[in-house]
Amino acid sequence: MFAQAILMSCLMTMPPAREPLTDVQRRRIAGLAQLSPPPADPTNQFSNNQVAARLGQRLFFDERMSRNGEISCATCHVPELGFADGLPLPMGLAEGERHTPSLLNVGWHRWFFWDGRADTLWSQALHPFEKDAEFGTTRMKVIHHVAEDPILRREYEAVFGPLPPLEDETRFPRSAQPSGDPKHPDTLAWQNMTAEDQQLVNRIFANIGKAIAAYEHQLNTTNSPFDDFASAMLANDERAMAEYDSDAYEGMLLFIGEAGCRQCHNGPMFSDLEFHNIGIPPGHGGLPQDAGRWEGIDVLQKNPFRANGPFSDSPESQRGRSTASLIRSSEHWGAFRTPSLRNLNRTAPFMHQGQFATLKDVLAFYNTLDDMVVLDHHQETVLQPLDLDERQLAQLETFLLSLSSPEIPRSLREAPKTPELEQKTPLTDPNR
Amino acid sequence: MNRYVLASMATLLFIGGCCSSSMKPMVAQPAANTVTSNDGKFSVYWVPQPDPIPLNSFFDIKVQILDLSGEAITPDEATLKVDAAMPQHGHGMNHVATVTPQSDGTWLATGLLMHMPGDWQLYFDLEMDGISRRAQTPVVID
Repeated sequence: MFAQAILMSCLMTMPPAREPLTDVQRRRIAGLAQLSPPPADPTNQFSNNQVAARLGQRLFFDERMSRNGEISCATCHVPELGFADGLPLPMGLAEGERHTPSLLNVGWHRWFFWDGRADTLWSQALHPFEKDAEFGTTRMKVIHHVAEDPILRREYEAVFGPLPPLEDETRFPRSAQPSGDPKHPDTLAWQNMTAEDQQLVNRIFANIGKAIAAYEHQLNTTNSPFDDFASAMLANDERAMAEYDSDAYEGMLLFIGEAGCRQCHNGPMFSDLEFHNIGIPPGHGGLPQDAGRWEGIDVLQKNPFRANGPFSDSPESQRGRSTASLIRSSEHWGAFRTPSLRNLNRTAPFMHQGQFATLKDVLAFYNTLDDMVVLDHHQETVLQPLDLDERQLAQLETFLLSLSSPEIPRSLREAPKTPELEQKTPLTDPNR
Repeated sequence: MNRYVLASMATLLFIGGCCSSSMKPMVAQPAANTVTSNDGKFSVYWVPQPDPIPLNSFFDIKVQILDLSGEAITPDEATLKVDAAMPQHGHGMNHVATVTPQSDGTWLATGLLMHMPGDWQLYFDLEMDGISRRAQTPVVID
């Protein structure tokens, strides 16, 4: 009698038995799992160079390069916030126009920024320097900063070779950049430089981007609970599979099934890495004004720091060919990059202007499509309200949160060791 | 016989059944990936590489085209474009494919990428004697 009561009690607390996964479900789950370290970027021959990465990490946390001496990459890409900033819109020297995306696993992306106006991580890293609302500086100032800081210069030259005589300010003015305003002193200073010296400066600037990219290439998270489940599934380990949270499991089935999330959120990044217009209302109300990918393609193809440009280490690589073959059409107007769904536990708010404060808000939007802005710009016409009940929405949320991984090592979440300590560390560069 | 075997056979026919650029290639036998043009004037034999077409990864397509009499139409006579779209979504691919004539009288389309799962249409547009004709076939990506 007593044993029977215990057995009944156990049966009542056990989750319901799971139906065996179908072959299609298993294939879809396998396609989402196991985010391995990103492949080396062929356009950046230093992407796996440890000395370049250390220099890049130093630059990432260096506030001295900004106009007011208070802004660094880490100002908006805060390590404790998943390398995002927790704000709807970023705050550098002024408020930005689009939400700061997380840098976790960033090496996997195909395009960078919400509009994909950069096609490599090293090219992306260069954009904020000369933006008034971000660093508000010039490439010439950045280069002088690297040349005049003994530690930065030492590491730079260890990786990229000797710097030219930047102390000759008749050739290399303190501040200069090509910009849209032909009367700006920085523009005039740039125009007064020889074409050869402009090329030299651009090469050094590109190298600085490549060093920062080498650091960011290391910001990779390890397995999430979902990945552990998928690994167990691939190993046919039923016992380990059973350890996956029941609600997360049901949410996963919705995600790969009737909710249709994997239409855009496919692959190990839970993103197709491409661009869609899902009719999210602008953060400040009114009709959408942001052209998104439409403008991003145009900016990209005019940028000399692109994958198939003169500063790429492999313009003919797949990445370079990918940029060369881009199509720009009206369907790209108002489209933004599909965000990764990994590590959502620390990257709120969400969407390109941080329109949704919580994951619940995001799911509520997809569930009803209330307030969706429909313009005749070829939004995803297949987008329909999910019409899920509260329990299903909670399961989907639990699943999405199960894509969160442990923190990356502390050594990658802070500036490298102090210069005094660093000077005692010999530099070794396998590429030189 | 499954589609993979048929596709492999078609690949072998492409590789083994064609000859130099100065000669008309031998005719491939119908395989799994065969489509007749919308006006019925030509047939397209196509083999994706890799096969099946991957989701959201670049792939190539080897193409051979035959006229009604079963004779090959070669790159010397016609120009080929290859494209794909998701009509239900109202969008196409994000890249234009490069189509390169091959010395064996076929074409190789490279740089195709189907970034979403679902129903795609694959288009083969053949321009010959100033007229463009289309063959199209559904492709389901999952």
